[in-house]
Amino acid sequence: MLRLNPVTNYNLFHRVINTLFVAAACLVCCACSYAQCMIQDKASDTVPKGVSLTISIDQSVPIKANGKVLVKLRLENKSNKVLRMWDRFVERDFELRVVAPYGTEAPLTDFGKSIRTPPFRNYRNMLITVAPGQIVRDEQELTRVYVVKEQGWYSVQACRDLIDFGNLYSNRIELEVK
Amino acid sequence: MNVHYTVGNTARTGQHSLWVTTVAGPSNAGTYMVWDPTPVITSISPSTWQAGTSTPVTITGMGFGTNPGVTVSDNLVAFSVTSVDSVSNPNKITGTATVPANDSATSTIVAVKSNGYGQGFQGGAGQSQQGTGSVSIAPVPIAPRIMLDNVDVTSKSTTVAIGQKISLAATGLPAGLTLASQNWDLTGTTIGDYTVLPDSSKATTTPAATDKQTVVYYYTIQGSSTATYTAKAAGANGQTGSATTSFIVVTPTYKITPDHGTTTITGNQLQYSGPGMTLQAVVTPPQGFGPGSIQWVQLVPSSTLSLFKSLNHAPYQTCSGSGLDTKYPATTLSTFTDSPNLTLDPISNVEEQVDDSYNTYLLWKPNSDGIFVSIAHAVWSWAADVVSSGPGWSLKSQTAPGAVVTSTSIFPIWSTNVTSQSCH
Repeated sequence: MLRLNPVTNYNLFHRVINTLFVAAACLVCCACSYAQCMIQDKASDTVPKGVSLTISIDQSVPIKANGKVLVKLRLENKSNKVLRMWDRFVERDFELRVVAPYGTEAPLTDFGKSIRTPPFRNYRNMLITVAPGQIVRDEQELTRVYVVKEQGWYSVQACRDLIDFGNLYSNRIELEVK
Repeated sequence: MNVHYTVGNTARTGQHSLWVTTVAGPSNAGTYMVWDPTPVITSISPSTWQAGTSTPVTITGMGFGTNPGVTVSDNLVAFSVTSVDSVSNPNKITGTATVPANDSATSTIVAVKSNGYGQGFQGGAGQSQQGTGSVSIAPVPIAPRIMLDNVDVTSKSTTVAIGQKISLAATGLPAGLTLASQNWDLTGTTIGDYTVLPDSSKATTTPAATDKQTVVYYYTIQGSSTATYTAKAAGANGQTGSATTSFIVVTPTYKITPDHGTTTITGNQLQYSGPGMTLQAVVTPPQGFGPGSIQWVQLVPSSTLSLFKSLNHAPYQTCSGSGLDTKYPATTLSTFTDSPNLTLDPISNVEEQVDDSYNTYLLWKPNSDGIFVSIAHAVWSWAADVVSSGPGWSLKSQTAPGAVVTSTSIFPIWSTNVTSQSCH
């Protein structure tokens, strides 16, 4: 009869427990891309009223396939609460989600895969605050994360994780690629 | 019978007849030839001509003829005749010798060619139409001046700050002089530039280009220093000239107050929190200089993440990385904070170990023309070992010593980003 040694037995037990725990969590959270913000994949209902995230694209549409797409990000705090969030790097801070014309998430670039594949490490991780009335602006090159080469309409949305309030989602914009 | 007589300079050249007449009548005629004399130069004044200038010259001698020509063997030299006196004894030619600055000859032959006395030169066998003399050519002196932002600072001392753009130009070089070499000798610790690529993927330092007439550089360490410009002319003379200026390089003072937090686990987040590391800087600019600006740049000399599927066994995966910590600069705020974290993976792992070292540089820039230069750095680290314990994680061990702050002038340079991990 095969007998497991105590250590292995312990490991197996805990892995099973962990797996069940995480699997249960994933029933409500697993997004197409496993990342910091979108792991929850739902907007928080505790984000204070008046806090908004808006994305826009200045360049005239349609975009050329494999062309660069600069997404402008604007987080505005019109609430009376101070927002706390991590300042890491823009692709992590403001996670984009791009849905391709065929209805599923657009393929990730190598860089996109590297930042959305475990293990997730944040080295530069600075706590910043957004005071009431303050606006935070940033911009992100979409094609650094996603491959945009199919013709048709892409849907783009951004997500920002707020430490005390959960995920803040932006408006969606449609982007035509020719 | 002996007859002595002198044939004048202006005598008609050619065959002449001579006979003697007595009471008995004339003798038969004997013939002889009269030729123009070979020119002879007895002196050339001055005997040294200065390169780079025009020199009035007087050539004395005899037999120059009424319309002599002057030639100089150094074909870079231009000689123009102003006047000719072929009547006085000695004869005189005045003129101007123009020697260009790039003439590297040390001497030259001057020839006066006689064209006779109105009939063209008439000479017999073995007679030369020209006489020669020689003069020395003095190389053009090189006496450069050093300009700092269009101000002559030659042999002067200037107070500058580290990181300040030093743009020096050598002036006063003789026009037309061909240089064999020129060089700036910079003492003290200098840098030509500190360049960070726009995408922050690489940062390098380059030395100043010191082989041109101008030099641009920055001091990185305080102290006394000099900049000496030396130019060497091309050619046989190879004369040199140099100029020196001095600098007193000053640096800001700083105080960095470090503080550190502790390792926490919240859900699946392992973090050096509190913040993990806080570096609060107060920078006082050197006297006479504005506040300038600061930035923090953080490098990760080494980062290791070990993942275990079984306790007390070797890791099944180890990820490592090094280089710039994520983005440049880390911050431009006076207070730097960092709370590195790791999202633990309870599905795949029962134990995870993180071991990171950090090198956080404080850089200061004196003004908009300058570059950021390092004034201090803080070396710190964070290591933690966590094991899965049921639905959560527990901290097996952690090491988070405080930061060690020291002054430095070393620039943070990198060619990789720590976010590019290598796992095996």
